[in-house]
Amino acid sequence: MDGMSQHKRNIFILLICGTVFSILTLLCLALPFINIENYTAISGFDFIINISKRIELAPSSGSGPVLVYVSNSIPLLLSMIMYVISLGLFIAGIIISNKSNKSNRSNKKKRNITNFIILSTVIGYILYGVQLSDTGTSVVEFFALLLTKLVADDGTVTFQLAQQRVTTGLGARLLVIIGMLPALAAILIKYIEYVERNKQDVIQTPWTIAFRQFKRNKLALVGVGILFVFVILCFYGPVFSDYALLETNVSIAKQPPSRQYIFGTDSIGRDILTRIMYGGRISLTVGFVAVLIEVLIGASIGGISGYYGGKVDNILMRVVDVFLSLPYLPVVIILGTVMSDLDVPPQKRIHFVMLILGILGWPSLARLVRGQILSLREQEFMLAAEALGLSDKRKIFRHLIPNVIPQIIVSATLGIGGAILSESALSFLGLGVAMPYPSWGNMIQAVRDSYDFGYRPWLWIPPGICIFITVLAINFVGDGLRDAFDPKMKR
Amino acid sequence: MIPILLGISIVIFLVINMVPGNFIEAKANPKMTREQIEHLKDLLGINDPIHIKYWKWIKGAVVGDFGDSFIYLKPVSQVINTFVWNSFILAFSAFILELLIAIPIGIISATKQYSKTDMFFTVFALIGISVPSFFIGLILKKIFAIDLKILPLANMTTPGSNYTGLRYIWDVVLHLIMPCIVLAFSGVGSLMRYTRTAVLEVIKQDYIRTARSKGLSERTVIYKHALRNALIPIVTIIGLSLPGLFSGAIITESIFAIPGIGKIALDAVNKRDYPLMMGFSMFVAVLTLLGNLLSDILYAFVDPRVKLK
Repeated sequence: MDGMSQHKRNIFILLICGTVFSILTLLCLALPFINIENYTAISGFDFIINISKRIELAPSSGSGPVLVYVSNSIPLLLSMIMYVISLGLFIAGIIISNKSNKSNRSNKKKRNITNFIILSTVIGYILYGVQLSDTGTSVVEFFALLLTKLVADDGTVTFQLAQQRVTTGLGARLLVIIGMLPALAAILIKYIEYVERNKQDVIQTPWTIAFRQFKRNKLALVGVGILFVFVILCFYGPVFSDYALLETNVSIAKQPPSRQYIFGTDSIGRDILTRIMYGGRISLTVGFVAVLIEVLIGASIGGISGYYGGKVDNILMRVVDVFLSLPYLPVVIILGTVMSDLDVPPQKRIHFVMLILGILGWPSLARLVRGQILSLREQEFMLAAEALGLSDKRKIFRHLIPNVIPQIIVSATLGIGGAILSESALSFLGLGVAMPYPSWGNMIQAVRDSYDFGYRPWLWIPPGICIFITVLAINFVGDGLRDAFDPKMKR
Repeated sequence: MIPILLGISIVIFLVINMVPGNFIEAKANPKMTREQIEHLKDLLGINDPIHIKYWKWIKGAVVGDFGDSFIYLKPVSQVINTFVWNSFILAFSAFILELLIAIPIGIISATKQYSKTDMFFTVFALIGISVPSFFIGLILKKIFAIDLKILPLANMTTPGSNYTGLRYIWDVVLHLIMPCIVLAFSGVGSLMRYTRTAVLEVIKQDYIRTARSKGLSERTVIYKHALRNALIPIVTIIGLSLPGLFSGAIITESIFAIPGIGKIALDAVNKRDYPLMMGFSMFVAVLTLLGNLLSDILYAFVDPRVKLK
């Protein structure tokens, strides 16, 4: 009975969100969507109509038509589609789960569906928000870049051209806020569901115990809060900024913080707050993707090595030994120079930095996973798996790895902090993320000018503090997770 | 150990040789003709195929000849030998500082688990781990050298000074205070946490309860009974942190312009001095392996239960 009314409420919340969302979306599209300095602002409708080809905009002042490469808008379109699809899935999932509410057995399935849908909505929203003020960092864009190269007839698609003077307009800003509604609703519904379920049954899974433990840790909660604020600010903040990322204006260079420029302007007159937000997005993305690569390689190699043992293990572990003894910083720095020498374009450098950090980071994780699996392999449930005649692949990835997930999560969380630190050091030395794209590390390069270093602290202190606070928050969370997952640490 | 060293050298060698730009092209005198450049490249062996280059390098490396540095025009081992001592002084003093801070606060933190003091020190340790070392270096430099003007800005000695004796030592000490703090700061966090965990493990054991029930003072229990066993895992960390002190010096030394191995390495990278880059990387790799070995030996030394086979 309780479950019934709960789902009715969910549907209700969702219906309202959906209706409001769709009406306002239509309205927003009619509003100016992007502003291009010196040229007329174009509305969302124009934007979408012209999405697959280059549009030419007549300048409102000045002379001659200016090409605006809308190759940028293809990833935007992609992520918008993804967002709409995930929203559709979200609604569909709720309806399905409502229908199958009667039987108790499908409860778990239902939960899985809603989990999946909530996840896809949130991810869809994140991608969407990122694309609205794109910097050339997201994964979607990475593929879209390949796509546009094929599409463009002259093969000279450049991203900078379009971005240089573009800021998002009113319509896009409203769209971001409105788009947040379903994502928030999704989280809200999930939370209500969690509370209700906790009231109903007292079954404790390791995850719920860990979650409860985690909630008790104040530092960890502070960390989550800080990270949440930073992620929202970095990923959605730039949409609301009046200053374009790459727009330069030397006449207002190095201005101290004022009401107009909260953190002042940098050496070529770019708003520092905007750059910090973009830089944060790049730094956070680099950290996250690097660790993702790390986990993928590390868990597979560790899993294989631990499961098969013997010769395979021996060979793989020697490789791990070599990688572990590689002098990390020197090698990263050398790889950074290799990138410079190969003339890797700035947007691609970001991807390479991710790759480098990921590839150098996996061995410790592989070793951790291997150690765990060596002991898990001997347990009874693996005997059962053996008796059932499961394939090796299934045994490793469905039965062994899931048991190591807590440790992987902990080390991955702490790894993100480490990756952000490495990236910042690398970028600070001028070997990581390169200008004109900002990252927190390369913004601190401003100290190379000794006068700026001594007397214009707003140029380099804010990004440094951002790195520090973010990594600290990540470490708080990682520590909290470790305590939560580790039964020995129980108070 | 030797196969691992070989593996490392291959990986680093491959990475370095991915670089297409080279010293000659970067520093070429515009008056040189194409043929002269090619001739010079042949002389220096830059045009050789990769396996021959590696073979040449490894043949020399075995007998301690790592080639000549392009910048200094001296053997790499000699260059490293010249500069490594400055780094060594820095690393050693930073290390002592690290131990002096980390171990006491680790012990205090563990004995007062979950108290306010513990919370404070834990957060302090996390801060140490979370701050980028170059940033803390810059902040210190700004505060103490530029705003307060009580410490020298950079370098290891006052440029142009010819101090001797005690005066010289004092000068060096003043110059090394900030780099030392920076280098120690990041290590303090992890070492303190290791200490805390180690002491906590030990404190929970039965023999500590026995010691307490004998009526020994808390001081004796902690510092005589518990600490001795808690030091076992800490000792192993000491060996493992050895390479970090030298590779961490890359950033610290270049911020404070200290003529040490780290700064030289960064210069070598920027000027594409392959032999020096390779030499430095191998130096750190050897240190890493030596550190591992050292920690194993120390472990067996402090804990008689462990026997090396």
